[in-house]
Amino acid sequence: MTPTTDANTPPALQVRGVSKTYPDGTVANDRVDLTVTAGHIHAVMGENGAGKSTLMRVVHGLETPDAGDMVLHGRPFTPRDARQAIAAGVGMVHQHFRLVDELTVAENVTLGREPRRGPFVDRDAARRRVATLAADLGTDIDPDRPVGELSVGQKQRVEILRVLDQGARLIVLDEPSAVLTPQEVDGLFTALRRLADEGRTVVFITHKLREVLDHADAVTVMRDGRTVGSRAVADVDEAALARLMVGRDVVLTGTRTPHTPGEEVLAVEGLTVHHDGRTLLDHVTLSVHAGEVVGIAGVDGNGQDELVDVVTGLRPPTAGRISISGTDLPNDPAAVRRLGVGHIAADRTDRGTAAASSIADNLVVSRLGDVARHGVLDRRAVRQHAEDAIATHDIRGGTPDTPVASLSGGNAQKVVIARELHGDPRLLVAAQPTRGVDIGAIERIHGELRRRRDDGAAILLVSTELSELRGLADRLVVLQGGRVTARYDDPDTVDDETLGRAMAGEASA
Amino acid sequence: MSAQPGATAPPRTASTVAVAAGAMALGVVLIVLVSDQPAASVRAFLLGPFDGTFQIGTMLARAVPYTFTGLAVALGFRAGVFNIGAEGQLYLGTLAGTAVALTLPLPGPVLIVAALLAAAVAGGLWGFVPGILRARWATNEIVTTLMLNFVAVLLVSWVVSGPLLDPGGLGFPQTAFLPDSARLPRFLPPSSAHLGLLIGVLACIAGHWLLTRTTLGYDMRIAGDNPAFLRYGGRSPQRAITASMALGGAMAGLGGIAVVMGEQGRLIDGFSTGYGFVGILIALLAGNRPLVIPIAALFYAYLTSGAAVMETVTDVPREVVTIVQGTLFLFVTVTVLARTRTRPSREVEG
Repeated sequence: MTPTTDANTPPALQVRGVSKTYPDGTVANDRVDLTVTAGHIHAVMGENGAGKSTLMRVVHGLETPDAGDMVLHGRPFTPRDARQAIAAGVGMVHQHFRLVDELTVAENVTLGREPRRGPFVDRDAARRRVATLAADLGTDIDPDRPVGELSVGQKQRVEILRVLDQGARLIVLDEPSAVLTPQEVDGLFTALRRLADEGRTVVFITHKLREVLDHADAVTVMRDGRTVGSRAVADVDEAALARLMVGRDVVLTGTRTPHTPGEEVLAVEGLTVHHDGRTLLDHVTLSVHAGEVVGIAGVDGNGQDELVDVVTGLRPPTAGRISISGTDLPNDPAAVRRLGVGHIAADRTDRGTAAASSIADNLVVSRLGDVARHGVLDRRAVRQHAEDAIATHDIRGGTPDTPVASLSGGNAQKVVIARELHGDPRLLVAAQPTRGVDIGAIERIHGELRRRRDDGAAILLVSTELSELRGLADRLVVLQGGRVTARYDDPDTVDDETLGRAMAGEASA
Repeated sequence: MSAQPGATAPPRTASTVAVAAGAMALGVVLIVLVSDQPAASVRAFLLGPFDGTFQIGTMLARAVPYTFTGLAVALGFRAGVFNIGAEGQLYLGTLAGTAVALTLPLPGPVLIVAALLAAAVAGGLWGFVPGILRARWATNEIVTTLMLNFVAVLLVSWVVSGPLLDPGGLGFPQTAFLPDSARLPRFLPPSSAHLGLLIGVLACIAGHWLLTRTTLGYDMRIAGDNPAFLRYGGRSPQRAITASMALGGAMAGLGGIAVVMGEQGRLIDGFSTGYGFVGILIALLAGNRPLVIPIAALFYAYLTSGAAVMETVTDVPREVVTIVQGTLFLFVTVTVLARTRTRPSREVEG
């Protein structure tokens, strides 16, 4: 599997101490190191927001690092834009394809570098060039078909062909498997392996453990903008990788007390979600009772988002039965909320807040009826509601009129928590409730969740942080590839090793 | 996805004033360059619009359609949609209002109200259609509103050349004069300043109230900021977007009928000098804040009046001022877009 490494061959890519801070203060990369051996397939792993994409953008010249340097095939490498990176032999396949649907495969691949005969494009030459590259890649693709008619997997192949046509020796792919069906994923990695065997080097971003173990030669794990470890794949197993990925330095925020579950609040039976030919959730069954926290463990992207969306009415299930306190789940987020469901959204900026709007406006979205009469807002009530929330939840850095965007991550999250806990929901869906917040806010949020549980709320906690799940969840359900791979009724009896294996997809228990 | 200038914080007043002043300064420089009598020309351009009640009244009348179309576009922007169909909405609304005023045998004030209502409803429908297309099927509203402009303008063109052609108008494509009972009261005689200005200001105040004090306005504002958040909170961004387009269309329709009922007295083919498109500039100048829109409209009317006065009394053609207006458009667009994009997109591949 691992090609012989000549001691005299310099690494294909060396990244040394690269740091990047965005203008808004987000530290995306903090002294990142990465060494990619020539001829290898190298995986870069990490949760969302770990800084993988920023690092790849630096390598492709799309971002200029604040510190650190890079060496490409033994030569200093400081691309100032994508053009220079491409000229140096670095190709990038983005997650969202940059193809022109109306043009043919050959036209897309050679776009901007068309072979010419006099003033005209030499179509035959272009076709031949693309056919040769396709043969290299081991793919069978008609150069004359319009790209719009191709499947997602084929489009990705066209992207790779284009990068090859640009003369790339180091090919970077940003989450190449995210949009593919399992069969397409296998085909993709077969093709990438051919490229590596021909002496090219492949770097791909992923957060899927299986992919790394099955297809990569080496792996570098990133967390919170730092590289936490690089390993030869031969030397690691899935449990070790899972731990590297999710093991935030343990934050102890108190201990779990014994719980006394009441009646069933959330019942999910045989929940299945298909999308674009992929199965995102596969017959998931679980329940959450009053007065208990059920934790959903798993590596990001294994169906957690879809589970949350279905339970909160934001996405219709393909099949399955969901009920809340015996009532069938309505197909409308507002009606679900009226049943007493609070929802801490996993992504604060995506939909947990309206960032340019005021704290007061952000706090009332789900209870506008309480602060309005006949469609007219009671501005005093809106303001009072905000002032109460700011005081109760210790939201710092703003008045009711301050835009949420100007708050720190922890305080913006307190706005979300304040809104979703208001009115004492009987079911609280808490997705990544402490992502991107500081220790102080984590303690606060954990304390709040514990108190709600003790007061009788049913809490569905989705988290990629093992320590968070261990500190809060009374029961654990492990999701992998959209399926429940393990259940633990007493999380204290299971060790990280076993949990890691379940998260990596080894059915057990 | 379409651009969402409404999603950003309103521009700082200082920078908007600077932009306006910059465009004016450029105008003065151009006038000095092309004119044989620079002092007189600059004076006519800058002070002409204030030269007596007639000039002031004319300038106020000019501000009326801009006030309405500026509000029309701003309501869309606030909800995150780009309504460039105010022109068509204005035409269709004007047609409906004119038809009512010409045909319904109603007493004065009732006729005026009926005609205004008809214009608002017809304009609103012309905004509702692209609104619901966008909300339900994510149809790009920039394309649909632009296309519907042609439909409305050509429809009006046909109606005023056929069904509603003025029998005594020697074949000019225009309707007969509206009855006196359907005219909006004027002030500052002999200028054509009319009550439409007051209605426009009231509409802007109502727009402000809608956005800040009602649940619908809340939905519109939040939809303009983050529609996914609105849906997550259990509210409907689709409804907010559709409503903003329909309300915008109603405002544009009112703007057109106000010109007919207050100033021109009849519907003439091609009567709008791009009121709907100028509305985009007005909305951007005002930072989509309804209360600032009358001021922005007045400023634009001042520029137009200055150009007209200068052309009549000096050797400088009004095209010079068209350059100023174009520059203003460019400056405003650039400052707004610069704010919209926090990080420049450099994801352009070789």
